[in-house]
Amino acid sequence: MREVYLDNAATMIKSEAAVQAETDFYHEVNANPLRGLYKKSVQAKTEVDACREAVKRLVLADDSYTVIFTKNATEALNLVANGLILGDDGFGVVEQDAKVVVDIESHHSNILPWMQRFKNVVVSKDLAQDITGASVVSLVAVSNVTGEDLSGRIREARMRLPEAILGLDGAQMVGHSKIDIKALGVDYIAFSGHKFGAPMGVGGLVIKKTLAEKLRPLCFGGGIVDSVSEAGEPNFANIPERLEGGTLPTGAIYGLKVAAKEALENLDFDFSFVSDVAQEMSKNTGVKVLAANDSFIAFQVEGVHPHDVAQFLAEENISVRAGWLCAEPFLRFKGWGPVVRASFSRYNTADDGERLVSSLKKIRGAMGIK
Amino acid sequence: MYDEILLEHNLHPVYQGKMDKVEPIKLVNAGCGDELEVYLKIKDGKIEDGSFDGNGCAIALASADLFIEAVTGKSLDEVLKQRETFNKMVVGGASEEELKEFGSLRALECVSRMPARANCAKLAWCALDKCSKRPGKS
Repeated sequence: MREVYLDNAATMIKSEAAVQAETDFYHEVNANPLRGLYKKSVQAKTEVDACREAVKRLVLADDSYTVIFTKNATEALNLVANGLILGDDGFGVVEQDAKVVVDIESHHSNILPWMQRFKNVVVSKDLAQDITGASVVSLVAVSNVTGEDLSGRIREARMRLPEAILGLDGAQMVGHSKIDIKALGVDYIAFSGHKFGAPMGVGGLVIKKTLAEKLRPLCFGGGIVDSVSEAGEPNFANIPERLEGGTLPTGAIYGLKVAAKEALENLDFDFSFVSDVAQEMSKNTGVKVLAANDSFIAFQVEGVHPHDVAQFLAEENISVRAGWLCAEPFLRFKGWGPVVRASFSRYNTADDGERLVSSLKKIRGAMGIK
Repeated sequence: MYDEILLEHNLHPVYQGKMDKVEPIKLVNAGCGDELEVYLKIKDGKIEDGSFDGNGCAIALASADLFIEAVTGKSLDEVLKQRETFNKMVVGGASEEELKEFGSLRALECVSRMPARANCAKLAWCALDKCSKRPGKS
C-alpha cells in the first residue's frame, strides 16, 4: 500500500527540483560562498544573494528589507529575541525588562526564546488588552494546530503601537499564502524553507534593514567581521553577513531558491478538497473535527488517544502528527489536550483524503470499542 | 496493531483509581502527553498494594495496569529485576528465556516495533525510580 503523507506542516514533501538544485550545487559548484575570489565561490555568493531576493518576493518585501539566513524559523526567532536586548556591546534596541507580548496560539518556538531572554513576557489570551505598553509583539502568522490565518492581528497591533517592534512567526505561512509584509506593518517574519519544499537546514528572517543593523549576532565567528585585532576589537561586517556566522548551508540555499520560486507560483493552490475530507471525517462515528482551515485538519477520535490514532494510521501507511504539536499552551487553553493533525500539501490529492477517511472508519473497532 | 490483552487493559483497567493515605508518584511522558499518578503501598521493601490514575495513550494506560498487576506482592528487588527485562522487551532486546515467566506483561512486546512508543510503555515503571529511593515507606 503506498504511503499517504499528511504531515506537511511538520515538513513538506520536497520539490524534486529543489532537491536536485541542492545536489547540483555539491556536484558542480561546492565552493564556500564567503570570500573566495575564484569563479565558483563568486558564483555561490551570487546565488545565495539571489535566493534572498526569491524569498523576499514571497512576502512582497522591497529593498528596505533584507533576508538573514538561519537554520530554521526557530533559530531566526532566537536571533531576534537575543539580538534585541540592549547591551553594553553596542547591540540591541530594548531593555531586558521591556514588555514582550506573544500569543497563546504560538508554537513553542515563538514562546520559549522570548521567555529565555526577556523578564516581562506575556503569553496573551487577549491581545487587545495585553498589547498595551508592549515594546515587542511577536505573533504566530498561521497556527500550526488549526491552520487558521491569524496574521491580521499584527496589523491591528501596528495601528495601536506605531513605535513597537512587531514580528511574525511565519513558519506555516511563508511559501503557502500571499503575504504583503509592508501592509502587515511588521519588522520581521521568520520562516523555515523545509516547510515549503526546500531542503532542511535553511530558514531565516525577512527583516527591516534598519532593525537588522541593530541586532546582536547569535553566532560570532567567521564571516561576520571585516577585520579583527589580536586585542579582540572586531570590525563587524555589514548585514546580512554580520548575522550569519560560519559557513552557510549553501546547497540547501540553492534548493530554497527553487522552492521559493515554485511556492510563489502555487500560492493560489486550491485546497478546497481538504474541507471536503474534513466533512467526510465528521460523518464517522466518534471522529470530532476540531478545526479545518486551508490544508489543515485537527481532530480527535472519541475514546482513542491521539497517539493511538496516529499509530493506527501509521499501520495503514498514513503519516499524520499527534500530540501537543509544540503548542501545549494553546491546546490546554482550548481545553482540547493532545490532538491529531492531518496537514496536506499541493502534492496530495483527494484520493489521499479518502484513504484517511476510510482508515478512520476502522479505528474504533481496531481499538476494541464497540 | 496492539495485543488483545493490551486493548482489554486499556478499555477495562483493573487497578485504576486513587489510594487513600498513599502519596501519589506523578509521572509525565511529554511525547504523548501521558500523565500518570502511581500509588504503591510498600512495607518492608515489599509492594503490598497499588493502583494508578491519569490520562494517556492505550499503551501507557494498559502498561500501568499491567505494571500494578505484575508488581503487587513482590519485593522491590524482584520488581527492579523485572523492570530490567521489561525495558529490554519493549525495545526488542529480551530473550525468550528471559520472557518465559513474564505472563501478561508480554502484551507490551508489540511495542518493540514502535520505537517512539517505548517511553509510553515504560512510564508507570518509572515510579520505581522514586519509590526505590525510600524503601520501607508507603
